[in-house]
Amino acid sequence: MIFKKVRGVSNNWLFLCFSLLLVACAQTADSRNTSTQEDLKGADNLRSSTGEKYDNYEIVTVLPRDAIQAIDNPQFIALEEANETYDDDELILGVEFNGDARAYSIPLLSSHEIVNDTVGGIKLAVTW
Amino acid sequence: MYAREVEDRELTFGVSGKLIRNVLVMYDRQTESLWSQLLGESVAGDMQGTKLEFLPSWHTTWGQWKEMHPETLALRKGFRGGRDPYVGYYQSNSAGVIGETFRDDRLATKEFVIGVEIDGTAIAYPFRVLSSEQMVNDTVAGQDILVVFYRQNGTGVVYDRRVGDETLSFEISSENPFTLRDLETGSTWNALTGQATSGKMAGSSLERIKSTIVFWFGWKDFHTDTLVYGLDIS
Repeated sequence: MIFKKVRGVSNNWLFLCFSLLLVACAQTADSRNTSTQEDLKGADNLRSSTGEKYDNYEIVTVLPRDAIQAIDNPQFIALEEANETYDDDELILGVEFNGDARAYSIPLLSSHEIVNDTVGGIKLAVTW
Repeated sequence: MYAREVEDRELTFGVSGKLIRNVLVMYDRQTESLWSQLLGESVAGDMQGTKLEFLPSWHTTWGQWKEMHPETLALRKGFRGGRDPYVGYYQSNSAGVIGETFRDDRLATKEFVIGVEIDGTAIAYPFRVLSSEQMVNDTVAGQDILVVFYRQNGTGVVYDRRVGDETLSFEISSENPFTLRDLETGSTWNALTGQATSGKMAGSSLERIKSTIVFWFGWKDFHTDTLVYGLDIS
């Protein structure tokens, strides 16, 4: 899912975790003299503009960088093993290049947003 | 899905923690530029203005995918189990973190659409409308396109329906819902891969067009003048 989201209603720990991060993030931006986190580099304003052509696209900082961790070294399993952890009706993003086919579980992508991968020789970013 | 080789340079992307109109902004670790996922374009930093090459992918179920590709690999799980942490988010009516930028009540906030943009013309195909039509032969900004949708898998694929000099019109085969037939030559086509499987066109394939499966609120915030298939046009 391409929306970054902090759930309005949720009973899992992530919500709490993100809420705390949001607070931390807002505080850092509001009071400039608090600890300047490397993570927030470039985010000296909570809301910043992008310049000329991109002026209409206001960028809002809601989490520190990498608070959601992209997958850089994805590991894969073959069909038989995958059948044990993937339900047949589970949503996936599939990609195929040069005979190399891969499935990425959407529930798992939701936790990571991005997978940096190479498929059939094509360097690609799976984004959700 | 985007190529991460840009101008002969290999980039790796991370999650910036920033949003534009509630939609993910990525950064690349090599230049620290910011990239809008929905635009597929860098919006800030050294790479500003650079576009990412769109790569076709399939949004479908594991069951369907392994039937299409019995040799497929699958991303190993194990980090956090399989539960989608956004389940509550899909169901709630709120539009993302920062609220909607533009109000547009033509569709429900969290209704899924397939978004297509061609030469500045944006159009949204609501899942709701596609559920009954399944396939649309359309023309957007002068380009002849084909939208195919499978409700059971949530799979939506958009093709350029021009092959060579010929524009084809498609119907779904009465024998197999995943087989298309073109009215001009009677050839049959695999609806999911876009390849002609028999008839005069055998060996040809339809080119995928960039499309995004996206919530309505995100699409219309980026494309305020978007058309909505089934509402604005016939």
